[in-house]
Amino acid sequence: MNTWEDVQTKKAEMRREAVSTLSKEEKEILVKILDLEWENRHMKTPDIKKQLRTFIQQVVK
Amino acid sequence: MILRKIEIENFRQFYGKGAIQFAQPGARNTTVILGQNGAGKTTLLNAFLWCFYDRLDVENKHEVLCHRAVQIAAIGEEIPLAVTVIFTDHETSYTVTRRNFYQKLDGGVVEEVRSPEFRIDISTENGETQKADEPKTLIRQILPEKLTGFFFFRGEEMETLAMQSSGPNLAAGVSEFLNFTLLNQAIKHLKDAGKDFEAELRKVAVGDMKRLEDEIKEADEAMEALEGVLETQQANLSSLSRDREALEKELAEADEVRPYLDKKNELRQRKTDLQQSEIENRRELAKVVSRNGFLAKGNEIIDAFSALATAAVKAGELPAKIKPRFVDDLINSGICVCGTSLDENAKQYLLSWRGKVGLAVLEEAINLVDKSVAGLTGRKADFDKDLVAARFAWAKTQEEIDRVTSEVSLVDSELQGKDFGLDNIQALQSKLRTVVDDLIHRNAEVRQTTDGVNNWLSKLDKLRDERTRLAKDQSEAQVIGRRFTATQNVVNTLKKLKDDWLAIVQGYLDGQLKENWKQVAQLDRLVEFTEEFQLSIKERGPTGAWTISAPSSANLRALALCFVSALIKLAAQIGKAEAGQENKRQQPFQGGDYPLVMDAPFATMDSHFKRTVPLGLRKVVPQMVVIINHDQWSGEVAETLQSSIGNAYVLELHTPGGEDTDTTILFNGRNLDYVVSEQDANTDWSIIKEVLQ
Repeated sequence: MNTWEDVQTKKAEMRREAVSTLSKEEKEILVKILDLEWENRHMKTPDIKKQLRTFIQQVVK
Repeated sequence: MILRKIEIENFRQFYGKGAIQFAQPGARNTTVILGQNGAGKTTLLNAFLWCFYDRLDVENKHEVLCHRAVQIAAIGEEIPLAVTVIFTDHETSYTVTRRNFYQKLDGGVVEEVRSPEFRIDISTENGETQKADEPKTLIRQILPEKLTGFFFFRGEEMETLAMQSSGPNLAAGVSEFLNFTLLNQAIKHLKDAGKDFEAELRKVAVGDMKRLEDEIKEADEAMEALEGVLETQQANLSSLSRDREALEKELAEADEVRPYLDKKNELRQRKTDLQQSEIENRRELAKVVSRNGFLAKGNEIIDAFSALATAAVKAGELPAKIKPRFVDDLINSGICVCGTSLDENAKQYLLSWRGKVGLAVLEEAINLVDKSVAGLTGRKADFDKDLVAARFAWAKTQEEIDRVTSEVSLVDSELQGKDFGLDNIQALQSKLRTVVDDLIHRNAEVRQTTDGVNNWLSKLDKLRDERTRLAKDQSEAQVIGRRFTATQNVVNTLKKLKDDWLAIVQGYLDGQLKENWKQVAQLDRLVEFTEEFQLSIKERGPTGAWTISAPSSANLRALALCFVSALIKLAAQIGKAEAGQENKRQQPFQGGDYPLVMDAPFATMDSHFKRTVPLGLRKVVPQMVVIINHDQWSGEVAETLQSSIGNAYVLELHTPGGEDTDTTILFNGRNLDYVVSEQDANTDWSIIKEVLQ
């Protein structure tokens, strides 16, 4: 049976592996979108598209 | 969330003010609430839902105010309606209150006189209290509404949870535990941003790219439309599967029908096993192809090489007569093979001559390639053999699946065509026939739509690859294209993270379920939480192998309770993980300890389960609330839970009628009023009475 520690280890490996395929810019976008979602989690329909687009335009040139 | 107290005032069945203090985690973590049918057991569950979310899971949703309270009130009198729940979560105490204010008018009608109030007061360990700014959000963070069905539920709902057709609901529930709402939002927003970049690309595109952008837009819209259709079709399919399971369950109660259903279940199990084998077959085939797939065209290359070499030999070009090394040695030594010294002119001549012996280099290269080709020829033979074997295994499994599917249809036809001489069975058979036919049709529809979506997806991939290629000549488009690709890559990563995390947690829950089953149900059965997020229970067949049978209602309830206990453990682990975060990267749902609040949970259980399940459950969950009628409580359940009861209450039912309707019950050595007849009343009501604390 999987213990919770096993689960955590597998989760960490899975995260590393998934993120390793991303470029530096893409990693920045990933962090940014999660931050934006977290900041706007209280809103039912948060409008973060504009901020997100501007950010992507800044990092991918 | 550990419940401390609920206060109820004039809420539906409950007249006046009443309160229940809940037993706390520890050796006596169980609160027992006894109530006759109609005394408000389900109403009590709904009191939590109404207080937290302004929601009622009942038919007459608009009737929230207690009829008795309205009846007794004088004209013009205010009638309060309130539910307050006090609980602790991560060492903080929360008091959640929902209150409506009514006034009785002439003619006995009531109207709301003030705006309803919903508030949460937060008390920290050091005694400070503050009002929550956003109570609606806060309660949904502590207990997301979609999760209430796992912690507060009725007996009948438990069986539904354990049915195969509940797979999508269980997957949605587990996703909620893992805070996928946030990730789903992130994916949606990234996709939206991606669409914007594609729109920009359409604006700047010229020539072939312009045509390509239009094609991409068209394909994207077609795929999205089809995805919407697929979602509806899948929902229809789930609903039909639920109908089929319910009908089969009803049919299984007839002894004449049971052998057919058992046979069908056995075949379904075989089919499930075969489908698993098919997945393995496909993986094996993929492995063979990925390892040596490049050799598929190997024959052409090997043959072309051989033809080239043979032609060179025929033309006398190979083998090369003079090797460059031989000429180099002559020049370096300065002495001819005949022994005479080579002068500068001779050396210059030899150098120019050496340039003409290039065929020797070719020969060396050909020799090298020849050796490699020999190796590849052997590998190609192995690859051909492996490929044939993998294809054969896959085809055989598919053939077997088709055979088992036909057998299932045969049993279905037999069952549907057989005259059991009983009207009710015939009626059920007829309904089942319709549902099964419909299911076959809908299944085909779903397969077709899935194929359609996949086709569009692959077309889109190709078109986008083509766009990347064309964008190389247009710098502006190239940048926008890169931005789009970046959003796509992040979306794919987020999707992968979700899928992988879900699969890891599914494995964890499967393990916990098995452990709980051992501890709680103590019955020789194989229980599983499958990769399809379905609960399954198997028993030993005549050969000793595990086989699916039509599970009894008791088995299904026990299975569902063990699964919910596993979820409660998961919530506790998530809570610990969150609490351990230094710079708390909070999630909307932070986990922690949760109670199990159950209405009539042991109703259909046999003597074995009535002994094992309650006791086992109270050990695996931190807090348990059992709302139950006295008949179901008396006997095994009471004996088993006696030592773990912390608090106990009776929902005393007052009902119009004569004295002959009065009922008392014996609880813990005391005689308690259970049903009280009221001469002057024309409606039922209940009051909450504490009997043990």
